[in-house]
Amino acid sequence: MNPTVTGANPAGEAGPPDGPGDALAVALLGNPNTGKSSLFTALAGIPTRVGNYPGVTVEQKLGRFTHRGRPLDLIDLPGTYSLSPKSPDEKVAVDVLQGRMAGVRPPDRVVIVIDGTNLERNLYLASQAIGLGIPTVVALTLSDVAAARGIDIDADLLARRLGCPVVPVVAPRREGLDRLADAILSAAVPREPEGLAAALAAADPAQPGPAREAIGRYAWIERTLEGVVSRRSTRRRLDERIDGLVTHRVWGTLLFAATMLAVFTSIFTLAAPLMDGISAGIDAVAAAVSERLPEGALRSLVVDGVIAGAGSVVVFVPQIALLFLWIALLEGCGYLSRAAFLMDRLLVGVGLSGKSFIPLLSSFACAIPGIMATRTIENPRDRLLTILLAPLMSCSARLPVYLLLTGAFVPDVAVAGIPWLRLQAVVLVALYALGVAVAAAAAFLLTRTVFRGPPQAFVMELPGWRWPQPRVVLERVREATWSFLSGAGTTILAVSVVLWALSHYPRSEAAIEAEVGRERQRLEMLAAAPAAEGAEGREAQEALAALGTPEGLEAARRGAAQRTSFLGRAGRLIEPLVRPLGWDWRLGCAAIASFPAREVVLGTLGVIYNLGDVDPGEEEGASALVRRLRAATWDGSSRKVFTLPVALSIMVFFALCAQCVSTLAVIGRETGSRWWPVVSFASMTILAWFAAMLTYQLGSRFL
Amino acid sequence: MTSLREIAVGATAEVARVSGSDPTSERLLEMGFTPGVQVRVVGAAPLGCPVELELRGYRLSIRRADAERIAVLPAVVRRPR
Repeated sequence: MNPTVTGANPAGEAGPPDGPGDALAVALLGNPNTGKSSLFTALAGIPTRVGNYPGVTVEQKLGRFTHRGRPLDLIDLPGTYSLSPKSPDEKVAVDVLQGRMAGVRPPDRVVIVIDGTNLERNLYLASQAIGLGIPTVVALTLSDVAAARGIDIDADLLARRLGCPVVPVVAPRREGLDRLADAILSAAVPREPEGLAAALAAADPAQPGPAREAIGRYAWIERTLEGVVSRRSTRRRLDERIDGLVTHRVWGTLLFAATMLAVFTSIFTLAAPLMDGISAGIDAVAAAVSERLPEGALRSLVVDGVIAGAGSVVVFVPQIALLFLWIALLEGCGYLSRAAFLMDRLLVGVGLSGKSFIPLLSSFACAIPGIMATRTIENPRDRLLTILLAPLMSCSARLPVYLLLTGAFVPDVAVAGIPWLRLQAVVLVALYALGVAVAAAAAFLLTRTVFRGPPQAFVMELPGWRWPQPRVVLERVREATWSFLSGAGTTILAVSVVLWALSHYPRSEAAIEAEVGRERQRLEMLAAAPAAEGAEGREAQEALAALGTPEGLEAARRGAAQRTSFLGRAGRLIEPLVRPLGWDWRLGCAAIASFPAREVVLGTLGVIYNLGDVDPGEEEGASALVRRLRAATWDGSSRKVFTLPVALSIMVFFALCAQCVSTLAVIGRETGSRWWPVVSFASMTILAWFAAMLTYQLGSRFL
Repeated sequence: MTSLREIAVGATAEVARVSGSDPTSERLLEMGFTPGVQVRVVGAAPLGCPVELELRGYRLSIRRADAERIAVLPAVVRRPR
């Protein structure tokens, strides 16, 4: 709904000439970087649906608004440069327009979005789309930017020459939207544009077909723009200077590195106060609920399962929102394509192209959109390789694991005496670098063995610099946060509750008593052994003494309950496998439990250590989970589970493993094969195990 | 004939022809590399490739290998850097 447009002229006609009734299907078509998303947001507001086209994973964005009583269904087509598609997402745009996309209604209207600062090239697609036989309106975006650069566009003259209405709009200021909506309602099939057929026929017959078409269309465009545009060259001196700096060999590279560092440092420091506030709120809710519910399975389910699980989701919203804010800002101002330009040579070095940069960068937020973004890569080999490498980029689901363990177990000290260079931030950057380095090595090897073939062509626009549109940026952040909460969040919550059940049942008192008895025996043997003078013996004696107190007995009973639960049995089963990584069986449990999604590992740790350990007491500044983890000890000993090498080994494992069912499902769908997800999971798990094992073994010797 | 690959940074050249008929050549034509158009070589990425070009009032980047497909008339140096 759009109040401005809806409310306009209520006394106007009830509907368009072709009759009221059902919603009109309106497609937005245009080149990439034309302000299409900005126009979509201005017209329809928040999309009614963001999903995929049926059968393919190109993003489909739908919205609805009402104008003069007539509902309009807006569909935002993927950006394309021409109607002869060169990539799967361009193909979707063309298929929808031509009514060849199964399950998508052929559009009743097409709005061709053209960028007023780049008319010449934008009119190429427009000249093709006008001939489709669909009622057409041309929306002239960025006309304010064009005007500010001294480019005057005679929209009426252009409309006469194109044979369809041309409406200048300034989407962020909502200018021209009413006129555009009016034009959409009353649009007709355009007549043949003036001189287009003649220009196409006049092209040099000696040239091959595609060249003849391009020569003919550009000749027509040049004639069409005569007298329409006051000044053809649209580059500003400021643009030149910014570009000169940003793509400079030295300064551009430094700026790139600084930008990336700023992104990750800000996620670490700016989000912290918000996260502390959310943590405190969750603790308060848990405490309030605990008071009101009677002791027992229900209270345990609500407090330890539901609230703890939900808390571990919500607490990371500030970081995810902040990361997407950066991505949206860099994308909106035009920096992302400069980054691809700067990075291309490096990616060529490992057998990829600069076009893989954006999918791989997006994978730092989440591998799923990253893998979907690979549809902009025309070359099938490059695309498959990028899909397989995307899960190695540290996604936002790993960030919580990194942040929690780094914050809790890496000392907050300066590196090399530089006060602002904190060790925690360095470890965080190193973890991100690890994924990148492993992906680079894998790409290098794979393109020289399994994936041989020529590198793909690289034709990439460098859009003009502009201010990011606040509404578009906010929408991007909102959408990402919401999809995390609703998509990942519900999975995490569900798995938290299932895991609570797995760690709570079966609850056999006899098995628990037997387990406590065995533990007591083990401690007695240790304490009485000849070597009992050592630290181990002393710890055994202390633990034995603790067993004598009611609190100590209760803790032991809890530990025993966990060892005899379903989850405990599974964790103990794989303990020999995780020992070389420095993990105890509970960490093994958490690794098993995190298979559906990596972020689940925190919920699992919360549940496992909540149920298994006595309250370690208050400690300033640390969340409840951190306090639990810091106090966790190996079974029957006071030796701490979480030391620096163990924390590093866990983080390295999670940096490289494929613990994410959704990613594996998307890989299967995108590659059209069940084989690639299996390959991806198996290879990443083996890689993660070896890397974590090396980290722990080296770390416990040298740290 | 000279190719766009050989044009120095800062120089402008006129496109004569795009050779080849694969999707890459087709895309280059669609992006406006038609005979007679003026193309300026704006710069190059830190490792020399890709190159940044300006034509028809906008900028794009292509690899040196693909610039070889674009035959140009002898360069006209407009604004040497």
